[in-house]
Amino acid sequence: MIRELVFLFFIFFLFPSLQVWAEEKIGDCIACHQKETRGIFQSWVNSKHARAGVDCITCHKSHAEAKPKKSAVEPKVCGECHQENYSQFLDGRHSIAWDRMKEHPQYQALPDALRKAFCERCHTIQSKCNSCHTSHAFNPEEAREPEACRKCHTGLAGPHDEMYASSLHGTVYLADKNPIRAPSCVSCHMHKGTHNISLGIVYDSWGNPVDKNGKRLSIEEQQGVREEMVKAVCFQCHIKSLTLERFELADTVKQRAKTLLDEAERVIRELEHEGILPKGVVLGAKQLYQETSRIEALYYRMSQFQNVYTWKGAYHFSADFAHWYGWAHLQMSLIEIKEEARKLRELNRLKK
Amino acid sequence: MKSSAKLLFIIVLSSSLMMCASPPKRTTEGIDVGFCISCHQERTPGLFQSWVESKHAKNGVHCITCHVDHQAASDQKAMVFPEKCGECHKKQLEEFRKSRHSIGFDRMRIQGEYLGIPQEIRAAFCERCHMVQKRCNSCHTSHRFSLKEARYPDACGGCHLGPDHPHKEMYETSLHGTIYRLTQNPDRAPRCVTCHMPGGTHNSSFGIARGPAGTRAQVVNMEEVPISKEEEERRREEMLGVCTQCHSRRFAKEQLENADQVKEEGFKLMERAKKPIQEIGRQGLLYPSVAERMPHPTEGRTLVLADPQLYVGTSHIERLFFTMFKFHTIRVWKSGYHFSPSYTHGHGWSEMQLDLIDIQEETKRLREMFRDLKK
Repeated sequence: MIRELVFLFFIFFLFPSLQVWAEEKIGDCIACHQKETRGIFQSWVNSKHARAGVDCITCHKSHAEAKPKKSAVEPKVCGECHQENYSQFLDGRHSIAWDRMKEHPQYQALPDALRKAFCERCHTIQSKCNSCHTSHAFNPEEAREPEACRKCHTGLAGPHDEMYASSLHGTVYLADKNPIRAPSCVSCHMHKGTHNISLGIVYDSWGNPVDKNGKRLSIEEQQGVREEMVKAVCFQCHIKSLTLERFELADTVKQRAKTLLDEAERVIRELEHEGILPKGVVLGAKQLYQETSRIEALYYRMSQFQNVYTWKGAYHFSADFAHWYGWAHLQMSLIEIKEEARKLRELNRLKK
Repeated sequence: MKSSAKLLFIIVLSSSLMMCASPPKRTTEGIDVGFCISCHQERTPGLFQSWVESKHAKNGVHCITCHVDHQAASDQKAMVFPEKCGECHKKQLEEFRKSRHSIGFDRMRIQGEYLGIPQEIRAAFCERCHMVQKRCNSCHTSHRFSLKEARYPDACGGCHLGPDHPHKEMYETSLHGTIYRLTQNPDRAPRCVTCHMPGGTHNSSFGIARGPAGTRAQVVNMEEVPISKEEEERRREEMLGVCTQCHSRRFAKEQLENADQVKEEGFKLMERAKKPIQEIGRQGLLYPSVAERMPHPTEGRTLVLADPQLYVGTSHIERLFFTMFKFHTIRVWKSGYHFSPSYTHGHGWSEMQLDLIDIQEETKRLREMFRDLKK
């Protein structure tokens, strides 16, 4: 009975009021928001959206609908007009970022409040176009600059911005701001404006050659994916032989870095086998940076930071990242892991 | 209408057959830029566009002027060596030859660190920057070769950054760098080239009076011969000539001398850290011991601390020292000369002190834990 009453309440009171909002004009929003959220209003008023008559209601639908969503507008709403961009976006890894984050044990190991302040701020890209096209200007020129990517693609876990900025590509682009002279992030990763940011990318975040859905790519498929980028982008300035040579060099760097990781893993597995470390040590992609032994923590730095600097640095042609932040630190960590193993064994022996 | 189409077809067919029979000759003479452009405008449009907007293009310096011919270019993967650029830019080439840039590749090849890296990946690491010996387009990037661009700190920053020599970061955190970044006006504050390439000289070693990284040794000249005290003073005076454009001579001299003192203090601290490691080595507590490990590529089977120490295959306590000498000492003294307090102190001196604690603690631990191993 109560349920029916609530239903009737909605029908008779709320629904007509929604109708009113939907029919209301932009003037109603502006009447308040021009004053109350001046920054947003100003950004919008100078935008292409404003000129084209795309106003608050077009995207936010109604005041009542916007409020519970905290004004979030999801990509599929943008896709109502920007169909091609939306379908390209769905082909790229940005569109699964949130789902993958939620599956990750490190995310699950974090307290709620920290999840929001840490992982979610970037991974929310799955549900907001305004990660890159910032509200309320939604300016494509702004979104094309490396700064737009930097907010997320920076720092310890993925210093793509730093690698790019220290490469010759980044140096020339940042000096001249001319994408004909040298590529910016989007020149390679969103070639000709595609919103499939996974174009030409062979590896996932962990360096495995898999597609968006986790299906392993055959050698031919990997070559196909790479060729897509190389032919469309690199050949604009570079000759074929040199370009392919550069990529093969980066492949070799990646393989060599993996051998150092493997060596470190062997040292740790031996300790596990000898009963010095408890069984079930998790290393690599699903490893946590908390509440493990020190030797595992040393491996964490190797696999999550230094290894990534090495191989991604090589594909971004940043010698500094590939060598000094990457390879050199991998080698130094390996020394530390071996020393730690020696000490753990000695302590174990003394205990007996 | 139909017959004219047929005629056109015959003309096209016969001319293409003629082209197959006698391919265009690829010699320097007779090749005009149109020949290159006919393909490269489409195949490498980015490169073409950069050139078209360059001063080179305006002055008739085209593909063949530098690349000589298609075969030669193809053989050397389109590289053009400084000698070639020097045919027109004589003064710049001469100056360049006086700088350490011009021996960057040769010196790299005899470095232990370089030799300690697997051969097949060296090209991705050291060689990318040390190539500066062989390519003017390290700084004057292809194919615009823009002067304006080469004068920006970013042009130097592609190589002069990172853990082992954060020149870019030091500069950016100095007052010089701050003012330049805000105003982009080299008259307000110096950028890299103001001090290191004054008046446009391509001798980037101008005014540098202190020795190579990681050593306390005397400054050496291009032939690796230590320079005289007088020469050292002459170089310092050279640099003071730049400083006095804004600062009084007394002030500038005092600042540089203060940096000299900072450098000395940094090296003293480093020496303090060497001693316990050498003792540990004598007691046979290094793991792996010098005898058990890959010999040093240039020094052989010996304990190497500081330059040319390797970061690979040593013991943990040596690795702690490596971090101190390679990353932190260099910040102390080079940031002293670049006037970056956050680098010379925070990232340098304090890190060195923390390294020293680590090394001393490790010494104690090794002695306690592996007493039985002592000889």
